[in-house]
Order: sequence, then C-alpha cells, then structure tokens
Amino acid sequence: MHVYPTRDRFDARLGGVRKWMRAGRAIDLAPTLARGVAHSIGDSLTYWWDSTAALASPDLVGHRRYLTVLAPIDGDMTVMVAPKRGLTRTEAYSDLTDRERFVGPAEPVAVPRGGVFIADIDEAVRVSPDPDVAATVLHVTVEGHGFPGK
Amino acid sequence: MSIANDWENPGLTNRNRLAPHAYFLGYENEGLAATRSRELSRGFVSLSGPWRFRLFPGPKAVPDAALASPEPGWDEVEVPHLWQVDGYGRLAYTDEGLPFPVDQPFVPSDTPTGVYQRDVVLHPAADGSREILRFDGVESYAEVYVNGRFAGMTKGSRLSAEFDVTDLVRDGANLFAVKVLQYCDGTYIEDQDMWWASGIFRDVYLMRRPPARLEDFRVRTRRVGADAEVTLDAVSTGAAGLSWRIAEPGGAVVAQAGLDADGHAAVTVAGARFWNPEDPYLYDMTITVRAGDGTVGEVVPHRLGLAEVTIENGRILLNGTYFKMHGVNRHDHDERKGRAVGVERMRRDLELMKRHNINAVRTSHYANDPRFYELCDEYGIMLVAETDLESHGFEVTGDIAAITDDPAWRDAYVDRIERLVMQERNHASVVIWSLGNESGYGCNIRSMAERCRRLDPRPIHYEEDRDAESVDVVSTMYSRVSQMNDFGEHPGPKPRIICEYGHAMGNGPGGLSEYQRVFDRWDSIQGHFVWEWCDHGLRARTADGRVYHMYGGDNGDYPNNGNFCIDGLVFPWQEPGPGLTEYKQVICPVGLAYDAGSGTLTVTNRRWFTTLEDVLVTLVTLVDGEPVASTTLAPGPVGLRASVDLHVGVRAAAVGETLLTARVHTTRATAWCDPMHELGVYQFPIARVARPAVEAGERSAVEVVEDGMTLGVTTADGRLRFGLVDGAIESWTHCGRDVLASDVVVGFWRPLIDNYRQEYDALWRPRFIDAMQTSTRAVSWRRDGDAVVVEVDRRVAPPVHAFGMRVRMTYTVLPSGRVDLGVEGEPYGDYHDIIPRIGVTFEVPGVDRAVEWYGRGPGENYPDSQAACVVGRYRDDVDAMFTPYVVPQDCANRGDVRWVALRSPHGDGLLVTRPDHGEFRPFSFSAWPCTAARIDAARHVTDLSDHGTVTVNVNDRVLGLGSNSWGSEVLDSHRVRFERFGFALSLRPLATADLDQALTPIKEA
Repeated sequence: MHVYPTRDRFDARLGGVRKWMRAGRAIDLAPTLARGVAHSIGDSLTYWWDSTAALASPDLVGHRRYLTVLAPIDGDMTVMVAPKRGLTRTEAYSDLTDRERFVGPAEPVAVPRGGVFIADIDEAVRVSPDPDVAATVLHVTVEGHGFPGK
Repeated sequence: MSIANDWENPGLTNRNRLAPHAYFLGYENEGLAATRSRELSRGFVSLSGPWRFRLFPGPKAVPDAALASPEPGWDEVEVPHLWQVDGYGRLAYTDEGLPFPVDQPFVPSDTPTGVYQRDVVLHPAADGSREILRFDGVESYAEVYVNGRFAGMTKGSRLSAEFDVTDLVRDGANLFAVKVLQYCDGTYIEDQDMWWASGIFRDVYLMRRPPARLEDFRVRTRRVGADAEVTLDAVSTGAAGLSWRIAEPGGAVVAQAGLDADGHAAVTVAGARFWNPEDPYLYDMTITVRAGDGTVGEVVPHRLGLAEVTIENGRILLNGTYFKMHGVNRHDHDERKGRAVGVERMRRDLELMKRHNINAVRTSHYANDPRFYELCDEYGIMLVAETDLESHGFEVTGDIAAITDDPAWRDAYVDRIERLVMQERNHASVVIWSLGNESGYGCNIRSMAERCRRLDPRPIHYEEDRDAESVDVVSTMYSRVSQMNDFGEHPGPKPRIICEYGHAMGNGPGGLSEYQRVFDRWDSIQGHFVWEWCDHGLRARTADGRVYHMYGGDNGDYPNNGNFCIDGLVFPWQEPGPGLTEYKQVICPVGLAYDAGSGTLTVTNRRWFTTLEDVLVTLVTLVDGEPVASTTLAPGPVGLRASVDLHVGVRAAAVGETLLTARVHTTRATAWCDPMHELGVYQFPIARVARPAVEAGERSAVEVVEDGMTLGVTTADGRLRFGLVDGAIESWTHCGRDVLASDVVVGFWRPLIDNYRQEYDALWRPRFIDAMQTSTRAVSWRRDGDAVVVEVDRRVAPPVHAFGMRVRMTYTVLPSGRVDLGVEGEPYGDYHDIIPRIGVTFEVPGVDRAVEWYGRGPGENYPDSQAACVVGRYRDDVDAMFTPYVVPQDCANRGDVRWVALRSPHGDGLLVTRPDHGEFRPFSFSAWPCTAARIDAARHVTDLSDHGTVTVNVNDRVLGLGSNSWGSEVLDSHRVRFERFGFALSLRPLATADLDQALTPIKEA
C-alpha cells in the first residue's frame, strides 16, 4: 500500500511510467466527467468518480490484475486495508470482474485531499463511507513498464 | 516549402470528380432492371480486365506520351490488381509506421508510379447522354486521361470516384490512361494495418447515363407500429416525372407513388416485414424516370430493407428492438490478389460469417466495394460502416492527432465521410457510421461527425473520441474482460461497443467466453468485434514449388512488422481457424443449461429478432464417450430473450462416465446454410462412477537385470532398459516393437505462440525459459511386490540463472507391462511467474500416427478456448491434427483428456491414461510430426519437415492462450505458474487394437 500525500509526490515517484502518467491524467479529468460513469485511457486503466458512500462496500475487495487506486477530490478519505493472506475469502475470484471479496481485520489509512492511494495487488481494501467525500477510483493494470497496449 | 504538386496538397481532394451520390445502376426497362446485372445496365462497359502497364520511378518520371499515346510494348496486367502483388515494385508491410519519412504532406519524390493504358471502342450517343467513368478503388492517387486529355484526379483510395468523360471520348477507338501514385498526401490518412500496395484494385467501368436520368436518391424508413413509413428523395436531370414502386420480391406491389416537384414522395407499407440480420427481407424497389416525351428514361432498381436505427434511453434499437452486434473486423484480403478481392470472395466471407453466428462487421478501416453493402443487406449482416481514414503513423512520431487536429486537413477528412455516407446510406445493413480508425481526436473528427450527422441520422462511432464528445456510440479497443465489466457496472448515457478485441494472431484468441459473459451481462454493451476476420498472408512458393504465405519482411521490406498482419480467425485460403470455431460457439444464438437434479433443460433464445421455431436440439447420452441414447426436442417459438424449460430424462450408467451432449440445429434453409445446420453444441456432466478393478490372471513378477550402467526390466511381453547414469528410458519394446522412440522428459516450454510474445519478451526470454537444461542428479531402483520402481531425480533449469525445478520421476513397471509414472516438482530460486505448461514430452515411432482419444475435440482446444469442443471419443492422425498456422507455433492441444492412444494402422502402439484408482483429473496432450525446436525455428510452414518420429506432449497443466499479441493477457484462472506440482500418468503398451482391454482397471502388483 502506498499513499502519496500530494499529486506532486505521486508524479515525482511514478510520473515517468506510462500507466501512472495516465493515472494522473485520469485523476485530473475525472471530476469534469459525469458521476459514476466509467471511462478509460488506453487500455491501461478504467476510472470514475463517486462519493465515498457510494464507493463503500460491506466487504474488503481484492483484485489480481488491476491495482486499486483512490484519489479523494474534495476532502480527506479513509480506506480500510489488509493483506489478503490474513483474511477470509467470502467471494471467489472472478476473471469477469477481477474481484474477490474478503472479511477480516483491516487497518484504516487516511488519504488526504489531493493525495493518491495505491493498494498492492496482495491487499484488499474497503472504502470507508465516512467521511463522505467525492473520490476517484481507478483500476490500473498490474502489467509493468513493458505494457505494450494502447 | 511551397506546395507544388496535387499529390502533396491535402486541401485538394480531387479535380473534376463528380459529386458523391447513391450507388445505383440505370436500365432501359423494368425487365432489365429486375436482373440487377451490371452488364445489362445502360451503356455499361466493363474496363476490368487487361490493361497495358508500366511502372515508373516517380510521378515526374512519367513522360507525357505515356498518357497520350498507345504503348503496345508495355506489359499487360489484369485489373483489378495491386501491382506489387503482380511483381512490380516491392511489397511491404507495416502496422502503423509509415514506410517513408514523416514530413506531411510530402511523399517521396520517387514514389512508385504506375501508368495504365487501355483502348476502348465506344459509340457515344448524341442524344445528351453522358459517359461516366467510374473507379471503385484506386490506391492512392489517380490522374485520368482520355485520348491524351486530362479528365480528372482523385484521392481516397477505397472510395469510389466518377468522372464525366463525355466531352473527351469519340466514336471508335479511345485511349484511356490512368497515372497512379503509390503515395500521396492521402497516404498520411490511409495508414491502416495492411500491406503497402497500390493500383486499380477494384472494378473500373463506364456507364452511359441517359438525358432523363436519376442523379441521386435517398430512401428512409420510419417504423410506426407494424407499418413502415417510407420516404424517397430523389435528384434528377432532364426528367418530366419520377415514379416509385415497392414490391414484394418478384411479386405484389405494396406501395407506389409519384414524386412531387421537389423529388419527394412518401408511402406507407402496411404490415411491413422489417429487415433485420436474422430475417434480412428485402423488397424490390424501382424508381422510373420519364423523359419529356413520356418515354422511360431509365429504371433504377434497389433492394430495399425496411430498417430504422434509433437510440432510445442510451440503447441502439433496430426497428424498435434491442440487439447486440456479435462482430468481426474485416479487411479486404485475398491470398492471391491482396485487397483486390472479387465479389465471390466477399460472398464466401459473408456465408462463412453467417455459418459461424456472426451478425455484424466493422469495415475496418475503409469503405468497401459498393456491392459488399448490397451483400450485407442480402445476407443479414449489420455494419459499422467505417470510412477510409487512419493516421496511425503519427503515433510513432509522438502526436497521433498531428493532422487530425490541423484545420488544413479538414477537407481531406470530411471528404471521406461524405463520400461514404452519400454512397451507402440507402442500405438497411448500415447500423452505425464510423469516422475511421486510430487517428487521434481533434477538430477534423468533429467536422466529420457534423457532416455525417447532416447526411444521415444513424449513430456515429469513432473509437478515439473516448469520452463521446462528438459520437453517439462510445467505444474502446482491447479493453480487458474486467474493464468491460467496469464499463457495464458504470454505464454512461450513450451505448457502447468494443470495436476491436480478441486479437486473433496465430493460435488464439483465448478468453472469448469470459468476454462474452460480460458482454451478455450488460445491455449498455451493444457490440463486440474480434480483430480480425482474415490473415493477410499472400500465397507464394518456394523454389521447389511448396506453398507458403508471405508477411512483412518476406520481400526485403524494412522496416516491417513481420507477421502482425497474420491475425485473423480465417486462414488466408479462406478456411476457418480454430479461433472462429470457438467464436461461433461463444456467440451461439441458442443458450442451453441443464439441471441434472431435476432433469430440466432450459433453452434460451439469444437471438434478437426471431423466435426459436426453426430450432431443434438433439440430445445424445454418452457413456465413456460412446453414444448410448439420443432424442430430439423442439423448443418451439420461444420469444425474444426468453427461455423455456423442457424435461429431459437422462439415465446415468451404473459405471463409467455419463455425459449429455446437446447439439442445436436450425431446420431453416437459407442462402448460407442447408437445413439442419448446426448452430452450436453444449455438454453437461450427468454422472461418473469409477469402474471397479478386475482380478487379472496370475502374472509373473517383473524381472530385473542390472549391469552397472543400465537396468533391464522384463514384463510378460515387454522389455525396458533404463540408463542408471541419466535415468533415461533407453529402450522400451513390447511384443517385439518399440513403444517409445525417446526418453520421457519433464517440460515447461511450448513452441512460442504469437499471443505469448509479450510474456516471452518480458519474462521468458530474459530467463531462458525456452532453453532449460535437464540434468540427472540421482537414479535408484527397488522392487515393490511384483513391480519394479525406478526413481530418477533431475534438475530442470535455465542457464545463467539461479532458479529451476527439482523433479522426481518415479516409474513403476507393473507385471502387465504397464508403466505408471509419477512426476513431482519443487521449485527453487526466485522465479514464480507464468510458464507455458507443466508436463512431459516423449517420442513414439513414426508409424504410430493414428490418434484416438477420449477428451475434448474434435478440434484443438486450450483451457481458455474450449467452448466449441465437447468431450467425446475421437480419431484423427498426427499430420491432420497439426494446425497449419502461417507462422508455425504450438498447436494441436486437446484438453480434458481421459486417455489417448497413439497407434500404428494395425492398432498397436501406446495408450496414456491417468493411473487406475487415482483422482479424476483429465490432462492435455498434443502430438506433432516434428519437434518443438523445429516449430520454434520455423518462420513458414515450408520450414517444417517430418522428424520421422511423433513428438507427444502430455501435460498436467497448460497455460491459456489469451490474446496478448495485442490485447488481453491470459486471465488469472488460466495461468500456470512455476510452482510446486505433482501428477501421475500410466503408459500402457498396446499389442492389439482392443483399447477396452487396455483401459480396464486391473489388480496387479
């Protein structure tokens, strides 16, 4: 799990990699787009924005092929995070959704407004509905620097 | 630098080219019009056929005389053609990179320039008729001369162009000359992924247009309940009146009207039979033009499909009905003619598509021959009708929108959508217009959309307008399965398609089933188009006459993109590849599900417009692969997207495996299939009861002789010799014949498939996964009852690196002569990522080429591409099972295999199963007439040669195919990782053709 308190820190660390450059663009664009409507940049990522109340889920959600990235827009947000290996799976992984669900203990992580949160692929997360702020959610491919896609 | 040349001026799209209009032919009377024959249309003169031809080293190297004087000494070529395919100049292939320096709008001064000449004898009428010269495709820039006088110029390679040559022709012999440049400014927006080749590649012909004639028409349908309100708007010259008639095919008139002074008429077809892809009903329509003296000027026929496309609540509707497009991207391609495809090839393409449940085509990435749209009306194929536009080369230089967002290129862009829409907007098959492909986004796309919308109300698509600012249909390409699910879960206000996915390069694509389940789940996703329909291989022969197919680099072309154009569901010779078979099943229009507990078969109508009244489902009960019972059910007129439950009693066998195979057929005869055409196949497990082992007669214990270096093991009819140094099976004979022709080795590699290229480059090649070395660390043996056990410890690891797999192979030689093999692997080091397989490889004698198996078949299948292949008992032979991919690569896998036998024509050979009494765990196998190394080394099929023996791969696990030659990585569930494993096999020599005795579990040892 990585929390970049500012976009500058995010850009400085990851901005040289195409998929993360695109993630930065998506974070910038999202608030200008309709709420709750998924968009994409190339085939590196999908993204949309909504309230944390809408993004919250009862379970911890994990992925295997896409990294969960969260970027609060108009306030600080809280994300519950836990390594998958310490959790109990409640919903089997599906290739269709790239999603598996878990229950178990998780730690709260604060993400400041303007910051960027990236979950590691071996972690599961749950967006906390409180505080209720607007946030962008991105699913960014786990593929690395050599990702040849569009 | 000033612009001096017409071919380097994007602001100039043509000289003297006639305004675009609907494609039609005029006839002298109704009888002739009813034939719809081009040749019988008024004053039609086909100019396809022989033309004199010479290739010049640049446009300015063409002497004036070449355009004005007959040159009888020139070569003769057959038009339509691409001159590079005929051996003039050099064929070249790139995907996106332009084959010359990017310096728009300039092209090389030595751009290859061909000049065509043809003598045409004409007898022009002096009655005010016009002689119109029409090209349906010239690449990329053409100047036309008639009797030495300039007639006009056109750009836009795959769009039709007409010139009025009336004032240039004379009675008697006329010299037609066409100067064609391979490259012009238009090339910058014709950078599609295909061969660089040029010439007059579609038909060219003359039409005599009478003094009283139709210039253009537009027919539109609006659905009002069960009726169709149809309007016609026509433009004419010299006409005193126009009349319009709509009739059933060859039958009753259903509507007719005269056109008013503005050329407009409206009629109602009561109780209309609307066009749709499942019932592509076409009315016969005629427009009759009358001259001032009351005579018929001409009769113009049109096959009218009554279709209205609307968007309501974010969904595209055809005649008010929701639908999805199950599509492919289609380039024009023929293995002998390249893009100069004939109508019959087009027709066969469409018939193949219909037989494979495909209902839509994206005309990637250009306008097609006008007759293609007519065929789509006729066969029932919905079109994303794309125009001739792609500026992909600018992606390489850093700004794909460099000219797309440059107003200086506006006319060139708008011209291309205008010509397409004006020509094809009367077709029912056109559901969506597409502004082009991969050209970035900018002001010129906005202008194209605006112009398109003014010409026709149908929805507009352009993928790179990703947030759908200008278009009506939002689109992506190569979005992965879960990304499409994201779009489905979070839909926008506009309908969505995925205009390219499932990159079908070489073996693959895998993962189509998972894609389809997502597409089917979300109504907002209304179309999906596999990339692409056909391999672009061009037929060639080696010096000794063997046929192969060329791709990039085979003609000394550099730079090139190799075999990236060999990426179709159909081989260049127009036969379906395994990917098309898979796609057919994935999009089967009838869904079946079976609940074994209640005996309920649920039949779901996955069509969009028609019921299942023509459908029959044949159910076959199989026990251990053998059919034991069958029945046929008719689900009846199941409504749209509805299901019906049918009770099916299936009796499970007391022992053995019982499966229910359901084959879906249509009883309907159509232009593309005979009655009882199979729409799809499903299979359901019913029961599995292990057969009990039988007591065998008394057998002698296995005898053993060790000589220090080898271990001889003798069974009732067989003899094995193990090397005690390397643990190899040095020989194995049974009843006097060889069972194996090599040792058994553990393997993780498969010959590289195109869809693993990214993994190869990023993971495998740097770690030499393709060059692993086997080293034997220990060999031991012992007696175990009447059996002998030989244990071989090996390390399988790549050079250079410090990781690998420590493997133990345990052979148990049983008194019956069977050899059970256990394999266990324990990885060491730091590599844990994906690998192509976990299994063993060995060779059997070359005579053992007859293959029989109980598993998935009949075709090749892989874990993520197996929907079309149900479990059964199949027979084939090693050579026929080897799929002839243009670039040889791993192939021929059969999955979910319970047993496989490789035998001589007499029936003796080797049977491979899991050991008796083990867990039920099917495996995979492939058998090739050559080695993996030879397949990996081959660039063309002609590089392969028979190895003499048969290579057999028996795999516990096989990595899915994915489609990551450009697109989806292998889905997580189909991944095989370099991790701890264990599996067991039983190798059973066959002395007779009686497989049943070899399969019988027996108690021994």
